[in-house]
Amino acid sequence: MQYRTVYTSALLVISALLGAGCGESTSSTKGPNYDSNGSDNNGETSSDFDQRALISNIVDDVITPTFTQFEEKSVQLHSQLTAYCTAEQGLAQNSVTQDERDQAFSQAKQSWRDAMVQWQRVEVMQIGPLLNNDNALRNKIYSWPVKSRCGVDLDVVSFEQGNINGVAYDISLRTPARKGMLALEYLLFSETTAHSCTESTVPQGWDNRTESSRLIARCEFAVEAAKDINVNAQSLISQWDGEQGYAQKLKQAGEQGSEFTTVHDGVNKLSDALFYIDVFTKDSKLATPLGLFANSCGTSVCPESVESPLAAHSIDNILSNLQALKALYEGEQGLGFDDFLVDENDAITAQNITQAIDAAIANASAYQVSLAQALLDNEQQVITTHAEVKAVTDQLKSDFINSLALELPQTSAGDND
Amino acid sequence: MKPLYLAKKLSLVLAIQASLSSYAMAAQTAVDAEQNANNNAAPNNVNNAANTANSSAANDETASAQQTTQDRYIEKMQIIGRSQALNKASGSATLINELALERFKFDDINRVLYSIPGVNIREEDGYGLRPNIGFRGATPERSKKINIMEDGVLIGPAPYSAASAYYFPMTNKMTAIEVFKGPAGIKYGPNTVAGSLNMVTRQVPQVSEGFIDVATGSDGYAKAHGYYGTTINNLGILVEGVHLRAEGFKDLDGGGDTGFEKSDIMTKLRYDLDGEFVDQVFELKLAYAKETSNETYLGLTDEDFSANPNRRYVSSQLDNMDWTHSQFQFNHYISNDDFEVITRVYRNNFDRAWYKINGFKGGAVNRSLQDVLANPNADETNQRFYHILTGEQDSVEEYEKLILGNNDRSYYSQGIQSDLNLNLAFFGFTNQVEAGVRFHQDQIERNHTTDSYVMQNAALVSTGADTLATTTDREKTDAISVYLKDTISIDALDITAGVRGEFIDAKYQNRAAGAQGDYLDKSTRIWLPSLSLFYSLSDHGGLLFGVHEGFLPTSPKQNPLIDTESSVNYEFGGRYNQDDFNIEVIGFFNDISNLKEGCQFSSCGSDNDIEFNGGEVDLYGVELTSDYRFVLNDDIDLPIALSYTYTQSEFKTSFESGFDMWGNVSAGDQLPYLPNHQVSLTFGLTAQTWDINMAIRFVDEMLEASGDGVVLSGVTTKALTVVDMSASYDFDQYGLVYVKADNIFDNQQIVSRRPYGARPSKPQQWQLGYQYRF
Repeated sequence: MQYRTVYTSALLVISALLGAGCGESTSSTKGPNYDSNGSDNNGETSSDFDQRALISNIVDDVITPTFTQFEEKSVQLHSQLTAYCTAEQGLAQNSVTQDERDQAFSQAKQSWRDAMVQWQRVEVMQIGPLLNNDNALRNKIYSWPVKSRCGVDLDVVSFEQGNINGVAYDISLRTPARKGMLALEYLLFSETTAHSCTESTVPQGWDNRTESSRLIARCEFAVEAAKDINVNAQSLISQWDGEQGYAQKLKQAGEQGSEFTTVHDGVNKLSDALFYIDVFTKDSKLATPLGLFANSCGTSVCPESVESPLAAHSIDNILSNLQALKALYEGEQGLGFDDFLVDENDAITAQNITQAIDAAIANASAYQVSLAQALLDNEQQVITTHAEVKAVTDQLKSDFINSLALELPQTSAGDND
Repeated sequence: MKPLYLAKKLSLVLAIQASLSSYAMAAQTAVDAEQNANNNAAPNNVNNAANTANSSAANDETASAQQTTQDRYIEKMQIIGRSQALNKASGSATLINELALERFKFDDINRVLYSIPGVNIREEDGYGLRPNIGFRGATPERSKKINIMEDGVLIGPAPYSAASAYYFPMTNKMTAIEVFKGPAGIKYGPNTVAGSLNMVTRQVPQVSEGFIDVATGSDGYAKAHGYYGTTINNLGILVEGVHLRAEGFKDLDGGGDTGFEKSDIMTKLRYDLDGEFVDQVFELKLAYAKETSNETYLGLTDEDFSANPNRRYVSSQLDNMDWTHSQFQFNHYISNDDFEVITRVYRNNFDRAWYKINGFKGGAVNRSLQDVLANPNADETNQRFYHILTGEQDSVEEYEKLILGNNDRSYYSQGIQSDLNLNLAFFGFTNQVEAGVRFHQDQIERNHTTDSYVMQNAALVSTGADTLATTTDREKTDAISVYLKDTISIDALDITAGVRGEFIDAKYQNRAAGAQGDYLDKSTRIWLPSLSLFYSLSDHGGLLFGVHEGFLPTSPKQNPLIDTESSVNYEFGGRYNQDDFNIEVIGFFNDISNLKEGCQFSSCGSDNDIEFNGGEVDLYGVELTSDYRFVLNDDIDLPIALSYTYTQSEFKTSFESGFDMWGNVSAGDQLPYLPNHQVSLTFGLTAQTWDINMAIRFVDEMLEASGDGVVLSGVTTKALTVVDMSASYDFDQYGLVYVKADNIFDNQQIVSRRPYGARPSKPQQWQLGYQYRF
């Protein structure tokens, strides 16, 4: 009986140990630059800067107005394209004069430029809904650098026919490079109405159509594409600014239940957006046509590889990117990253970045010809622009992230550059 | 808590080992005295054979004693004993012996383990070069949640610092495979959440013995395997070598070898020293192995898989794994009738470089290869990337360049461990005490680099850009482990209580220039208790119950905020053995308080090594195994064996995870790569000179991801039924000829779509072989 008591006691002890989790203990010492994700800092800053206020300001006073203004531009774009298309149809029916049609066409193109300028500001603010699902929403509005002019030609005809292989045409289901701002550039600014397809699949009957018929088909599809852009712009605002929108999540960073463990993680999401200027503006929009990166000409100067060759709008896009960067960095009139740097006793970096952005803006503003033309006539000017932008990104990649204990986005991390 | 210095640790371990030996000797004397007093009343399972050795002839006695020591040493090298009529093992323990291994002559450990219940496997290359094995629902990724041992020693490249088992011993040279789950696993750490797999190499034979096995087969398969061993007086030697090669069953676009070459040579020297009070065995094992395989992580789109499951895209044409493994092990075994102590000193070096496609360079346009191959027509981006991967289009833009990574890693694993088995009698009961201590060190050094290529005219062409260093770091662990188990028999009830302690000091250091400040020193201490009961209903059957705490340490680099994996695991079942009939049914329930997973290239397609917490998970199921040998006539038997596993899993909480196999999980979602039903049926006809065997296995469909919002959400692998066959004819002194076919009906399915695209199970493969023994 005594033995049974002993073993019963042992069982109770073991059961208690199992229930108590048996006293696991972990202690650790981190290096000053340890970070589990491999970056050079551990997210700790020295000052008591109000990072939550920084997020609120940038979200409410910079990003939300930018998105809203683009939605408004998209409404105007749709309106102007509708007017132009009506004029194009009227011209074919002799109810509209050539001048009236040309004026409407000119206004439609200008509305595209206006929308594009605004979109290029949005581009620099790719956060949350614009990044989800491999940038699906962003690509629906603007898929560059992925483009498919032949795809647009095919969809012009499919839309006109109202179906694809017997299934009703639905632009919302079409792939991104066949619609959006990139398709509109092609439809509005292409110098020819000939299709761009070089392989076996071509738009049915296109070669046999009159110029007028082609223009009408294209403008009708352009109206549909503009409508789709507006739908997606509304979707962006809804996903951003709704009650459960991403803006709200950012502003609640660090709170109970937030997907951001700390407020600093939310700040890091905003700072990630700044690096658009590195990957897109510097590398894709400048280094690539300069031949510093591979392009469709190989690795030589390639005017065809600029961003908006048909609309000759590439340098305007870059300028708009830089202006948006300035707004995002400085927080317009409120708290910005420059203030954060100053609070972290790095006013020099704050000032250096501001000066570098201003210099790049001045440089981009000074272009008298298109970027493609400058590549042909004055390559050095483009090289200088690239250097000016690089001066900004060099600061962002080093002193900026180090002083603010931020992490580089994966696409801008040194080894992957 | 201050970490112990190395010298102090070694001193501690040696002191404990010395204590174990001296305590064993003293205890043995005490037991002798008590046994004499009780007229040898207390039999024990360790020395049944010794107690029955009662030859009158002195030379027979000596030979018998030597043979007994040999048997006991061999049993000690194995974990599961073979001498009991009724296996009273606490927990589920399964042994596949040499006879069973010989039946199908599998090279692939996966095919061997399919016959064991409670084993979940994610196949990868078809040949089993880098297996993914889990037990009772533990994630099979690179077998990192189980303990993999060879001859009782951890054999993973760096089991604590980098648990992924990129090295796996050659199945061909094994004479036994042991799997044990449940409380039995408490003896073997550090991973106690699932169980352990022990592979036993050939022992030095007592008499001159040799063997040659050569085979050829489809897809350029060839095998050469042989050994010779003998014992002269007390000194024995064994030399064994295996070479395998195949040209591969995959068809590389544009041509090329997709196969492998793998070699292993092992030698053992053994010295038996029998004394008046104790017998001893000294054994040295040296082994060297190497593999070169043109293996890739790149799979296919589902559509291409349907057209030709064995196709391989040209963008994987340079993929190649190259590794070498060297091994040193010294065993000392000392025993008498009442105790045994085995001490093992070991060192394993493993160097590997896997050069393989990582993905597109990206930048302005980024897509993972998994996304491209899962949805090749999703949009123009995926279409374009797909056409580049297949060589149909050339790379043009910067982001269309292909990045090939050389994941160059050096590992070592070394240590010293002692295990004591002791029979004690106190409180009037027989106690089987098992205790052990291990000091273990392991390390991984990563020197990862990447190169840039373009696809040009359906071939990979280097861009000439400099090789870039990506990951340059070191993870290192010093660990002391101890365990103590005691089994007491009270009438028909065997009670086993045990506890394991793990004391882990881990260090991570970024070795890149200027990154000295990127380091982490981490110490983890834990005690893991276990309890199991076996109640003998008769001489042939009994009931078992077990509970133990599961634990899985984090790697040295992991943020201390990432919890270790912990669980409380229960099992309950019954076992019945009589004559040629065996049956075992065990139900298990793993109450996981925090499930932990991590990213490797093999799963996520990236090696950022980030680990994720998955919160509470319930895992439960039933394992059934049974076998019987029908005697058809004087010459022919019909052995039949059935294994069935039912497994169910359930996340208990909802959460959003960055882990690619989970995604946005809702409470109630199941774990990925865990089939609900698995069945293995093996049967054959066996005669004096010939045999023919069939193995049928069914693996249910498996989820590729648990929750929503990830590329493979809602995607499953299809259920797969595979039939393997083997037959042999023994020409007596002229040798034995065998023919075998893996997957005789050539049924291929997608075994997984990770890390990039659909990957096939092995197609039909024929082999014709010849064995000669001398």
